[in-house]
Amino acid sequence: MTSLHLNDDQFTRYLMDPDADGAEAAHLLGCTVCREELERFRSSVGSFNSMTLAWSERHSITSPSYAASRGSAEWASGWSWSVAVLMLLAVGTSLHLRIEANQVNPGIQASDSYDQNSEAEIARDNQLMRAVNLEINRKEPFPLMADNVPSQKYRQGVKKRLEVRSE
Amino acid sequence: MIRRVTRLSRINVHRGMQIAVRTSAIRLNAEASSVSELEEIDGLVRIYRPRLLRFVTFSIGDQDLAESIVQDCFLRAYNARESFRGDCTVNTWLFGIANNLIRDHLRTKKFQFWRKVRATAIDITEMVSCLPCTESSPETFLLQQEQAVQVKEALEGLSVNQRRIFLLRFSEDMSPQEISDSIGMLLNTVKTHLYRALTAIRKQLGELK
Repeated sequence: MTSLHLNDDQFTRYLMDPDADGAEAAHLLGCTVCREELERFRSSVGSFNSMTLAWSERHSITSPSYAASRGSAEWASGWSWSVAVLMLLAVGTSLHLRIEANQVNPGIQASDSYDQNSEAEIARDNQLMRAVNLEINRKEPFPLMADNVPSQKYRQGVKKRLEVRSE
Repeated sequence: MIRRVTRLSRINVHRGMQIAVRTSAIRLNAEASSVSELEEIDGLVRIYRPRLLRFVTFSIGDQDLAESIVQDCFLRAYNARESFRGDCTVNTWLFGIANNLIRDHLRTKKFQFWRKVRATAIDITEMVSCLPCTESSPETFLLQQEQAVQVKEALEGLSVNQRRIFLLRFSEDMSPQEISDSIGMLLNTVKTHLYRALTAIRKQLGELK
């Protein structure tokens, strides 16, 4: 019965060019065994093709040139969506914060905004700034420098030290 | 009677001319669409890059070099877009350029050196994980993975020319004549390579009697 099936040579020739008219195609129409063999081969190659195509698609997406090309194609829609979402988030957050603050202490909010611009507050700020400037500009003598110590105290100190040594 | 025949022949000539004009118009449209397709490099890369990358990677067995060749292929195609006459599809044209680049790389001493020094850089585990999950059972899925790996291993045992021709025939679905035109090889030589590649792969798959 085996001799009735396609041999390797015939099978390979059929795979090379199935469109070519030949006895192989006619045989395959009526022979289940040979058709199954053909399907097995096609299934193996099909699995290889889908696996390798998925692999190369993944690599194409991760490659910079492909990403750039995709990016430029979808640039407008992507950016517009992200900007719109960001704006919505910003507006929503600020509104939420404002409402929350008003609910907690509305009186303080109002008086604060009023006091910050009053003349008394400005005068107090100026006074504070002057005090800070004064502190910054004050010349502090360096404690270890002999020139900065008053001469009388320095002499007294030296005397004491000499006395201690002589004892 | 003679008048009728003359009239009929005139009608036929007229129809023939109309058909010829329509055919040439269709061809011109096809050429125009192909040329416009070439003008947009982004679209070109998006459509053809995955298949070109697959073809080049599995032809030469080196992923890094394949990436470089594919990049170069698109650059050349874009620079030479004016010379595209529309005699073939953009797909066939691009694969032709890729084949020329592969051939050029195969000839260089550098490629021969690196081929001896290092093995293929394609990660089989990563590749297997790429196989798209179908609705079939887990057993069938495992079987598909195994089959795919077997074909890949069988391909590695072939010469670069046999691999190229096998991939063009069974992955890109080109006829032997199209392969011959694309890679500039005689049809009989293409058939010989394909025959040997098929025999080797069927042997590896355990299908030979």
